[in-house]
Amino acid sequence: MIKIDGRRRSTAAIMLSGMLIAICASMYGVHAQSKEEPIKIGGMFSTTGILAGSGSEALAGAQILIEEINSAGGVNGKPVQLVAVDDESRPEQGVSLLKRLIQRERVSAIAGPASTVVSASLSPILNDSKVAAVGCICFLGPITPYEFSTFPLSGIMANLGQFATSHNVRKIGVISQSGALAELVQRTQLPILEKLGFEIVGFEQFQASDTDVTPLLARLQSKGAELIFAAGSGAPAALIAKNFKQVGYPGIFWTYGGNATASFINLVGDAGDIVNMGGYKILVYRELPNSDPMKARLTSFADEYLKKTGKEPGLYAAYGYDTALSLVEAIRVAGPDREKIRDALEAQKNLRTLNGLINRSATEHNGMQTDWVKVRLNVAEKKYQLIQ
Amino acid sequence: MNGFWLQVLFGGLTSGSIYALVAVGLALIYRATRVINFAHGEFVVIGALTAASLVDPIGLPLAAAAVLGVVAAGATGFLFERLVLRPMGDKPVFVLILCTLGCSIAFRGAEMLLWGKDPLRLPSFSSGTSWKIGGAAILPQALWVLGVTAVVMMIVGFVLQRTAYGKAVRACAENSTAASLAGIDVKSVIAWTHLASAALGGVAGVLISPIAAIDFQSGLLLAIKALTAAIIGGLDRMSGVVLGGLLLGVIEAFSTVFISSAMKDAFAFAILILLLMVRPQGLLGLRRTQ
Repeated sequence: MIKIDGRRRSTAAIMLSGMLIAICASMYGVHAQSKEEPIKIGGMFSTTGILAGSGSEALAGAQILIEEINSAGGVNGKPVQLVAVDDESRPEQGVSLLKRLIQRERVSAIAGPASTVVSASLSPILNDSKVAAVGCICFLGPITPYEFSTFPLSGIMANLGQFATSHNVRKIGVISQSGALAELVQRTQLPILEKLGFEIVGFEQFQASDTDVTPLLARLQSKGAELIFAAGSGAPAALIAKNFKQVGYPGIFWTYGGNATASFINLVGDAGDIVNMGGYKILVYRELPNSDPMKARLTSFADEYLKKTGKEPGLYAAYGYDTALSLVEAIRVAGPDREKIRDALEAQKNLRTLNGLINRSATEHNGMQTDWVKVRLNVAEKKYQLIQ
Repeated sequence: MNGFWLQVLFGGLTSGSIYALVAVGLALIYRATRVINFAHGEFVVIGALTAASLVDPIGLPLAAAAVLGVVAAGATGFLFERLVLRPMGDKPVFVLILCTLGCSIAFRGAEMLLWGKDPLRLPSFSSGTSWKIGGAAILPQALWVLGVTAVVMMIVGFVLQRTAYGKAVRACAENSTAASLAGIDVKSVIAWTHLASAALGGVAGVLISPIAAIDFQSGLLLAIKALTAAIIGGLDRMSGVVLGGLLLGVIEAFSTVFISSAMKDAFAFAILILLLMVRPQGLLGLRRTQ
């Protein structure tokens, strides 16, 4: 017979329950129920996992818009409720949460996701259950009826193209983190660059958990790449920047504007002075001239964001705000009916959002025209800087 | 194109030195208890994040923050043994291993609540600019990791082989009942070994933090990589563990460049499987005759 000491057993029980609580708490945030009958919008953002940085920002941005709308009396007299779920950066988790949002929460539409990794597996469910989603994502395949986005895909590559041309670059080397992102870059972004007349001399992949990519840089250098396009997000992009500086790469470094977060500045450290990135006004809202029509709105959003999260807003904060804005405006026109919301989204014209102007049609579900500016990282002052 | 080959080698050594340093702590616990501690990566994370958060928002000098990071990791390891593993009594090793795996998930949740989801990093120990050797660049921080790994390997190897404490550790691993009959305080030996191993994890965390972006999720992956490295080299010898780490890093670097990054892990594991078929005790491991 094995005897278990009572005290030991109770210690073990306490610890086990503590662990369970910690695990459960990390899975779901508890959300309060509103008294009135609100219009429900699902918020599908990754707030844990590898996409947590951009996902948390986007969620906070979306929440700010919903708060603004509700404090101004809601939409058509009804409050809007954002039912946020965390897909943990895992597509399979996203699928089951999406089903829950649609079937149990009976949401009218979905805001999010903020990542193509997740959105690719949500697409069939959205179209089968006929619920529209506005994410801040690139579309991997052809446009599907129920997916919309606030992410300027062709705009980003055009922005890189302009930047490269202004530095007399012809040969571009690409490093991307393997998986869905690399696939996306190869399928949708590189063809645009090639069409703009650039030569892609190499396309290298690495894993998000890697700690050194100098071998890949050496290979791109041997192929004559004049500009390194770091097609990664967050820590992986910071790693490429650090290694780029470390090997003293004879060329130019460029990465997505989506990497402009406080965490990126911290990660990239003193290697940041080589970083050029896609230029969004939200990154440099303080430095915009007073004549800029968006300055006041961006500043008030940034103040609100700072109050809510204690951080400066990054690009994804504005994306998240814009997704929710796009949805709420569609609901204003169409009411809470799922099908009508979809039609209203498709018909959106000249919608002013934080990042730019949205014009959608049956063949264009993205339609975001970004207001571009030139942005560089200023390491000494730990901020992003407007280049005139 | 010599610079190119050398750069690939340096890249591999940088990753490899990280695996090696993490693997030393893992191997130490294995030597004392025959348990593979999957929670070991969490001590690395706790060391790194404690030190990084002490430097950035709080403003402690780097050296003090690094020491406190190591202390925090060591203390967590000590408590982990006292509160989790010791109450399990003499359950089979397999149960203990599963328990460490479960605890690594619980630790991960706690780390997320404490430090948030963003990776944090420490500034480099010496200047951030790289050294050029033969047309290839290596970060001074990677040399720090390599150097400390070598020193740690020698100290741990010496302590295990030549001191009374080391003999006690080995005796516990061989047969804990016999060891306690011979007058060894098995419980205290195991407690101290856990403390030392977790502190070594903390050292690894503090050292690799300027190179690797460590966040709350890095731990388990580090532990698994370190375990692979240790098995390649042979868990029984500290020199084998370190060799295994460096080799794994270099194999990964070359397979990334010449095959594909997506195949990197597959390639590393294929080599591991081949090696286990030919030399199950690892490259430098001792053959057991039982």
